[in-house]
Amino acid sequence: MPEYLPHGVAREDFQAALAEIRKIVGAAWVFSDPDTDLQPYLDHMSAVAPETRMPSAAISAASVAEVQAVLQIANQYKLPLWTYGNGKNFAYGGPAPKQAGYLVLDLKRMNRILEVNEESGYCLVEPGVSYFQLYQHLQEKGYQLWIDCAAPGWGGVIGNALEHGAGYTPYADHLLFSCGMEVLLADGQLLRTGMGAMPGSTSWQLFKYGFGPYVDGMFSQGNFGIITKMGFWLMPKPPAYKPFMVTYEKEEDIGPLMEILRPLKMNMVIQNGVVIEHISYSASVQRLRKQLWDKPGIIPDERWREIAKELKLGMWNIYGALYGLPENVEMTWQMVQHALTSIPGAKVYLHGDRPADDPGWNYREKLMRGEPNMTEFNLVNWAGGGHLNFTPMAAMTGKNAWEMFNTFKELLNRHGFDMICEEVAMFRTMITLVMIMFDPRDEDARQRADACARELVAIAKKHGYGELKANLTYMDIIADMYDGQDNARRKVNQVIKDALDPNGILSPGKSGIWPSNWTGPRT
Amino acid sequence: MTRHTATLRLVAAALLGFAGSVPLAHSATEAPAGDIATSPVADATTPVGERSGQDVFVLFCRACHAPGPQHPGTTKLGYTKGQDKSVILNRQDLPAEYITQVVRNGLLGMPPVRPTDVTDEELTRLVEYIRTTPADKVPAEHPGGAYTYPPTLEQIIVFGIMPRLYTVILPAVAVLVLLTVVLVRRRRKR
Repeated sequence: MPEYLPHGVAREDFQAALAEIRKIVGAAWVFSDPDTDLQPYLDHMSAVAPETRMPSAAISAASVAEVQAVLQIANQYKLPLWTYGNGKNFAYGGPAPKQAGYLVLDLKRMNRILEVNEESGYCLVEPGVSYFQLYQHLQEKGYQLWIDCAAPGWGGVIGNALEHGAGYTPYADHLLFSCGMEVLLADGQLLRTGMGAMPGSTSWQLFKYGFGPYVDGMFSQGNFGIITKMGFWLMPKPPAYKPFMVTYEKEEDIGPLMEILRPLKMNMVIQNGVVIEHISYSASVQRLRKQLWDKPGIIPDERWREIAKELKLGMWNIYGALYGLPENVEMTWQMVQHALTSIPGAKVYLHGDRPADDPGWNYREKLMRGEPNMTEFNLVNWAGGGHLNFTPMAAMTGKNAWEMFNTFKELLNRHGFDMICEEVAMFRTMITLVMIMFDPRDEDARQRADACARELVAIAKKHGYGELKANLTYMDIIADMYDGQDNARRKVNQVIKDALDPNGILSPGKSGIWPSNWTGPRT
Repeated sequence: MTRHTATLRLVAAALLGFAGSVPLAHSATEAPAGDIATSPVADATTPVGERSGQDVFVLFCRACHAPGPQHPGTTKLGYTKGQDKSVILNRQDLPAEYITQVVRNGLLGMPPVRPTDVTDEELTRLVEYIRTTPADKVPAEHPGGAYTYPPTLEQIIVFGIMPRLYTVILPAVAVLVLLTVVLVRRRRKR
């Protein structure tokens, strides 16, 4: 096994730095053997070989004070720290750092739920808290509050929000429904945002802005600081909840459906994060590919239509829910049902209409009331675990939906991949989640997946479909999508990065933001 | 909305607010956030390293490996190993070393579990739990949700009775009383 060192750091200095860090966090919480204890820090699900992102070490800090002390050492030795809480962002890099030789700062042990306030409906958590943990806590204590979780429930409450992640209740936009951060800057300075900056304030988790510039967004999806606490609003359990699914027979129904959905979302008639699954997405959650297709090549359209009939689903399947007072919900449902069934062939399914063991309905119904689960991860069984996700966005129109679907379907099929996708409707935006599924043991498949991903980004840029997240490999080309006004966004990011982190120790290359003084590789 | 309905809804909202405040037997705020650099004392989360095999299984394994098609690990193993080996519980045929290796290195759709997720000591307890615990002894996933709970008395009164009190219930009672009176009088006349 080759030796992995941070770029530009001599072996002796690296060993000296690790010795000092061991004194801070304890020897048991520094992992540095590539053959053994660093293996779980690799990402086996992306298109690059896992070892190309082998960290030089992983450090587990358990408190703000420990992180501050580690930052001091990192500044002294110029160590690049790649930080996360849960490290479960698979499809985007999982627990691996952007490049080999970085030190992973693993904050999973900072997993305390510091406060749950039922009166005002919020919580304050540390970076290691997962959706499962927070949900379990609320259930055990009997709080009448819901969480909003990502589809794989092992995700981190803070990490998902910082990556601009989404859920499925009315609180689906996780960063929007966050309130107040505690941030450590690169020099160890502690900052509390919004009302948290005011000693004695009782509204850190209640009023987002405080006074002056609103800086919370600056610490999301970037590398300007390390978030050590974050507040989230929690939805009071509503008196009534009505989940529904409507299926559509034809692929081209996505166009009129999006036109129907837009005013319903814009006017908040349907409040939650609505999902419209293509049959490929619905089927792959409950069947392995081998069970549906045993011939070479991609699954043809005709077979998808048969699969839809076999599973009693449509070519598109919309999941949504209504919340509130029982009478209001029933009144609203009459209008929603009338609108969503105006497309010929639409079929409505409510609670009890699907088979009791239908995994698709069951997990969506749970997600739309904030119960975390892992059913959707069935998707990764499609082709051996490898998957790259892309989430291009566009205005919520029928024309865009149909155009995006066909554009990306042609692309994926041409590279030899099934088009597996869903549409997510958030307030006024339509997000097309496209999944490139491949077998990571197959070198040819990995290379095709990588080529497909790069072409997808280029096509999305050409059409003006902005990408909202990035796998480690594609952070730079996705950052380049946003190159308007003579690259103003990149320039502003650069000024902020260099001002707040002059030694460039915090996650170099995250979201395409590199320190000016970075002389290492940029892969 | 009529004035009458509006009044009813105000009453409903007030009653609901009252109902919502009743379960606050526990403290609404468990620990003050404090204004210090070190994290304040938190709730009763068991520290990493001290959790039982069951605690760790519930937090990290159950959602993929409990019985049923909604669990991705079970689905995949059912296809590759057969239904009788689809659930990784009570499996003394699986060597402890093998389970440990899969947990730490992952296997296809299962990513590795880091030592900060589950420590080596906890992993030893987890392996023992996996090898010796029947599936029906694993704590059930909480159903959660609103509609799975029976309605409270307040909700029955507010949403079931009050909205229909003047339009359905009282007129129906009046009609019944009237019918009863008419029938009784007729009998007396006979």
